[in-house]
Amino acid sequence: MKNKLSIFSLSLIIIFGAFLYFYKISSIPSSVYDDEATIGYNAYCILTNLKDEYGKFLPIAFRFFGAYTPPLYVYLTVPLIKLFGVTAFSIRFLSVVSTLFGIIIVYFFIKEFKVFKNPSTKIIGSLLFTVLPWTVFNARLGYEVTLGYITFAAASLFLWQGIKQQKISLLAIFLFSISTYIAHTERYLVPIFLFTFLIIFRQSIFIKKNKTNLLLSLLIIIVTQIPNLFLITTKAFWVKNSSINTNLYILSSDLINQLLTYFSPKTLFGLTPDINLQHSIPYQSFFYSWMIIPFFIGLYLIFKNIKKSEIKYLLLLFLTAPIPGSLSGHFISVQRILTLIIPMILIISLGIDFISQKIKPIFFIPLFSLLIGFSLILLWRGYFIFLPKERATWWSYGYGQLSEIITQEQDKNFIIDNGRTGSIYMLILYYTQYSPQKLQQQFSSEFIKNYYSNPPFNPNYKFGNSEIRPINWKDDTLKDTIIVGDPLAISDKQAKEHCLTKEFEIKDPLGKIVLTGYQTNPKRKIPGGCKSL
Amino acid sequence: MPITLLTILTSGIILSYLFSHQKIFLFLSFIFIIPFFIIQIKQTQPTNFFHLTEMETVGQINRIHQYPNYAFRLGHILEERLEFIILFKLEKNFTDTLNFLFFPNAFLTIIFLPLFLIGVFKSITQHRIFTLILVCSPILLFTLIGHQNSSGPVCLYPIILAYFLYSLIPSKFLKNEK
Repeated sequence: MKNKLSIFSLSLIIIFGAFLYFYKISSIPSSVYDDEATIGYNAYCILTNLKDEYGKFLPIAFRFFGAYTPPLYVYLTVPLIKLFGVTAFSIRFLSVVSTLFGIIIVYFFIKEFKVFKNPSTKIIGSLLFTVLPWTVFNARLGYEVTLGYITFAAASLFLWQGIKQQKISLLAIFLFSISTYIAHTERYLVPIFLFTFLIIFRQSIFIKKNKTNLLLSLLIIIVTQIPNLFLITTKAFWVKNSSINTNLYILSSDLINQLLTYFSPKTLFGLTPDINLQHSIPYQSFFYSWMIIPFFIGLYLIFKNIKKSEIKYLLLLFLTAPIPGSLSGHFISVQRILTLIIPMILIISLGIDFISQKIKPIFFIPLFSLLIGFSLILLWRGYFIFLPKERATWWSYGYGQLSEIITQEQDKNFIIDNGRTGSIYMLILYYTQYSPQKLQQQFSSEFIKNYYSNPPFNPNYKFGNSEIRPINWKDDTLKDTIIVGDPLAISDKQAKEHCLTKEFEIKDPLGKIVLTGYQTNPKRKIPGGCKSL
Repeated sequence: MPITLLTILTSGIILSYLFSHQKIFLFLSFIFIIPFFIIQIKQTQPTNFFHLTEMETVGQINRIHQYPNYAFRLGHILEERLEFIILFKLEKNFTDTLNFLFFPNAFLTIIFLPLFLIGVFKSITQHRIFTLILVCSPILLFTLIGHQNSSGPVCLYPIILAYFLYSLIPSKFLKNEK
């Protein structure tokens, strides 16, 4: 009976999660971000002729802006593009569904860990994960990071179960291996995690009866890692390593600083130190601030029960999660440490489990409901009210509207400034759904041959009636064209000086101008000024 | 210099209590920690919970205007009601307090911090109330007065030092260790 009630409650949480993650998913965030557009357009390219934007046949790493992103998210998005078209919904769908699986993973983690005493904690933990600002934010994000951390979490759950039921560990190994094809973080985290796991749990693993299992695991790794083994010999595999400093002192100092920043309660429960505001919700921390209390109680319980194997495993998950992010350079990027979400939730749940035993249900239930209710109001305020407006420009707002103008005015030529952002071409390609075949023709067979050798990335493009490149004030103003840029790229003074006529303005939801289009007047332009016609 | 000496002395008293469980050290611990609180309060520009700066007012007006019509009333409550203004300021002070990066450099933090936490956790098992009061009272103080000060978290120094040293002491030397 209790089990049925648990499953029923879990189902309700999943339904609520589906509502929370799918609600207005096409319009909040208010536009498609550069990385999402890349996923969408490349999936569209693959759907069209099995080649990516450059014309590479089924790549094993996508050369997104020169980043060589693991490919699985793109390939899994292809059928969704076929079903729902090149839309924000198609791109974000996979993240939503994977996060719904995340709810189930948290449930089973708590169920498996005997250190949790209260049977209701698995429901509470799943609910906390569902409504967590960090979870909600990433569930509605259309690129690979969410699927990556959920796959890693599923693999780690199966690995834990695999200690007792060894056959399940094969599934875990398979998922770990697959996760390295989803996101960069997992590519680094999986070897670190598995290596540490083997050391800590060596006495349960390296036993005679586990020999076949170990050999099979090795075989799975070798077979599934064949594409990566090929890639490892190319520059493409090592692109992200360029940000790792080779000076040991600087490297260790950076590593420690970043680890401390990622682990700092101020980062997790307060306002983010990530300077990229596209990564966060306005006025909202990743975890609700009240969760600090169960978090520290959870840490205390970890300390107290450190000898228990599930606690060791939880600590392993918790401590290894931010290592890849900490190794990746000077900047704090919270999207590199998403694997921290699940162990954090488990630690917080451990604290809540303890509190729920100390406080009578008659007090605990209203208190917990009040906290969840107020947290949801704060989430609604930050995510559904402020994010679509205040963070619109961080989400590349305006290029959808610009693409509509470009499509409508086919007889005009556009020069779109990309002086500060190299990814603008992708937004135009995505929104105009420019023919993949025509785009691919721009790249030589030599380029395709050297695809994985990391040839220099050039963000300047010319396709259709658009040129995407920095404005050349000397020459561009002498051609009959429309120059488009943000207020920093084209000031009023420059417009006046070069005899430009304002054609259109695109404003963000707060009414701030994000893009302006100016018609050039070559006939009016004379040295040192403009003549009247 | 006097603060350094006082820090060493106070942490010594705290340690003495943790070792001996003698009430005199319990009493002295709280007496000696009081000057640190006074210094902290004196050197801090306290958060004004009842007044918004010009920038905060602009932010508040901007936020109110973003609420859709159906939520306008709730928006006013969340953004304008004094209770919520105080709550959000307290929340910010509270989370800012729990910043792991308060040591002079990263290497010191990575050594001190885990040991400090181990010391606190170790002590909680034996001296729950004492440790909770001692560790939580500076957090409470910072939550109430904020962090705008020139001298850093002075009132945490003796506590950090005491629990850091406590973590280094093997359990067998501790009285009544469970």
